[in-house]
Amino acid sequence: MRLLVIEDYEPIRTAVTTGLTEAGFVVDSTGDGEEGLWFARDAVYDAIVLDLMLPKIDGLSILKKIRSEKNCTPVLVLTAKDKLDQRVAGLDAGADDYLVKPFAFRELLARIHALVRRHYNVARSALSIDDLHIDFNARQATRSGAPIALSAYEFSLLEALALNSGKVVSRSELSAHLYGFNSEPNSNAIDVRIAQLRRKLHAAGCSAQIQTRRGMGYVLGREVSCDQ
Amino acid sequence: MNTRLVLAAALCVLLLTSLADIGIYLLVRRHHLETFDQALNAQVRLMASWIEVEEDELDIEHQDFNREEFASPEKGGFLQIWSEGKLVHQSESLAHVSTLRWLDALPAEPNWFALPGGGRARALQYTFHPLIAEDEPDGGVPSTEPLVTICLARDFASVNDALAALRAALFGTGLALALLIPLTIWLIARRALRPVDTLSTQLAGMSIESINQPIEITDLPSELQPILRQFNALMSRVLSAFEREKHFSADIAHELRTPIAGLRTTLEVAISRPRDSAEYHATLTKLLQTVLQTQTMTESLMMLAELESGWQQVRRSRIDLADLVQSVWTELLDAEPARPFELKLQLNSAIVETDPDLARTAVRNVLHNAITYVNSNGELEIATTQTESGVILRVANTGSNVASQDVAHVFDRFWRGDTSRAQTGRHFGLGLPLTQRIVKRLNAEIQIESSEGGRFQVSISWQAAAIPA
Repeated sequence: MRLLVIEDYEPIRTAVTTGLTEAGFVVDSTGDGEEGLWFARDAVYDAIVLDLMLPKIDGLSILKKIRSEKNCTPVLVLTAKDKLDQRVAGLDAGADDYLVKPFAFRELLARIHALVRRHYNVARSALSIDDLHIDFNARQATRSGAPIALSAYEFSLLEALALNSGKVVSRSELSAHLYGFNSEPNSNAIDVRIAQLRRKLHAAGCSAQIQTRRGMGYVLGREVSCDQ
Repeated sequence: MNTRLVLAAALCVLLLTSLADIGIYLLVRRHHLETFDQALNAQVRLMASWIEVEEDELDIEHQDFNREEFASPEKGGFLQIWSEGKLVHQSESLAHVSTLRWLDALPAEPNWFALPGGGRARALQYTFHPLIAEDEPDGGVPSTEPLVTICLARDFASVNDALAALRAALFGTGLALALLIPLTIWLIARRALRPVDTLSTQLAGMSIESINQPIEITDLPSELQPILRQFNALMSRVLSAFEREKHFSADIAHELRTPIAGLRTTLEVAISRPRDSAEYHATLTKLLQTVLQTQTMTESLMMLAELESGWQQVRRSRIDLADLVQSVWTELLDAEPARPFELKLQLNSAIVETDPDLARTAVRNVLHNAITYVNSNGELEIATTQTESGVILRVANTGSNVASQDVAHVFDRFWRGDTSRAQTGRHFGLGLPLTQRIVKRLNAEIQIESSEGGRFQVSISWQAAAIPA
């Protein structure tokens, strides 16, 4: 999962970036409105955390610009402005959620998870594909109740495939999902990670399999059923 | 208010009409009395002309005097004619009373006289020598010249009746006025005060939510319109002050929330998992920085509040502005990370009588602003000068992004040329507002100039009066 954090106040930006990275997200962050807009246009994010008072271009303008460019990435507005009018203005400009500073980091995390699930039309925080069960919040995959030990990258890969289960996900999409602007993956890094993930799922005895579509990418499972 | 006004007006009108009525009555009465007396005088003289001396005898033609008016007491005329102490003629109207000696009893000029049958009359006696009859053979010179006195009285009742009628008429109209005038005043006052009532109702209906709606009354009398205009203008000023304060409170809330959010998130993320001591040290250092920044901002806010409320004490003493600027500048250069810029320092001795602590804070803010915003390889000028008109400190830097139309905002609390705090993390938009209030408190003046090309200049000047001799 790849997130963009645009927040000009350095202590909040650093803490949020650290916290989200530790929660398994790939995070790009900037304290500059202009750079933030450039990031949002250049890469595909699963969600954007956006402050409103920013240098050069303010948050609402960024929001309006990316929405006018048909960019539907979920946006969570993070700001110290708590007046109803200001909240409404944020939501009207195309924000999907609103969190007033100071906030509990756990709440921010839960809201980002919810935004991403909603974006992928997944109503619950967990998903089952055949006998494979994936809990996005706990970041845990299980087969018939038995946990499958996966690294953070492997889980992120499985997450990206599961959220798009039944659909082909390209290498570049997976790469964008897994790596931020600051890390440069090897050209075959995705293939290597997929091979490792396949091996672990197979070892756990999962019937759900990751299939390769030559020249296009990978697909997990055949049909989707929402848990519960 | 309305009732009291009407009552007072009615009372005044009543008093004035009563006085006017009394005046009219007295004038009319005096006129009647004078006319009555003139008639009485004329009559008595006419009667005198009727009495002649003929052959040394008084010739009185009684039928001449037995006129209708003397026929009975009711007719009101009373007459006695005396000659040489003897009654020679008496009117029928006095026949029923025993002989009265009016001679000497009556006044010489018309005056009040009590009639025998009751009632008041105007009466007079007229004493004269009758004329000699023209047909007297010896040229009209009588051997004796008898003295004749005519006593004439006329009942004043008829005039009194007329006066009573006048009194009644005056009293009647007075009473009618006493009732009608308050009623009219009340109606007029009610009509005239209706816009005031409307105004008062509208004022009573004003609330915090509707405070920005000016009061408009279409039928307000022209006398009240300036008051309403002034009131609306006052409300507009109050409203803008209110808005400014509201905005300021919101700004304070915003400015305090941001560092608190920073502290909270940093702490929550730090304790979410075990970390090594280096990480904890880095986190704690960052937390300390945030706390120090918040402390600086809070202190600035407190000082601003003190200055605005006028609590700040001013202790004046004689200082050299050049020394003060030099000392602050050295301190700032030690504390600030150096950025390459060209410094033009022109510190001429400038003696001024002012509060050294407050002046130091103001100078520090202005210099700190300049050193923070000067661009790399830009220019920074600091000059103190003493002239005949006063003492001036000028601080200018290049690299400013304050547009000339924004100069008016630089003294607004929390106003920043850029909407974020990213550039320095330490500027809250309080430095210049604080400086402006300090300068005002020190009875000095501050001026800002922002020119094209990013040159930003602050001048603080003390008038000659503040300079010790």
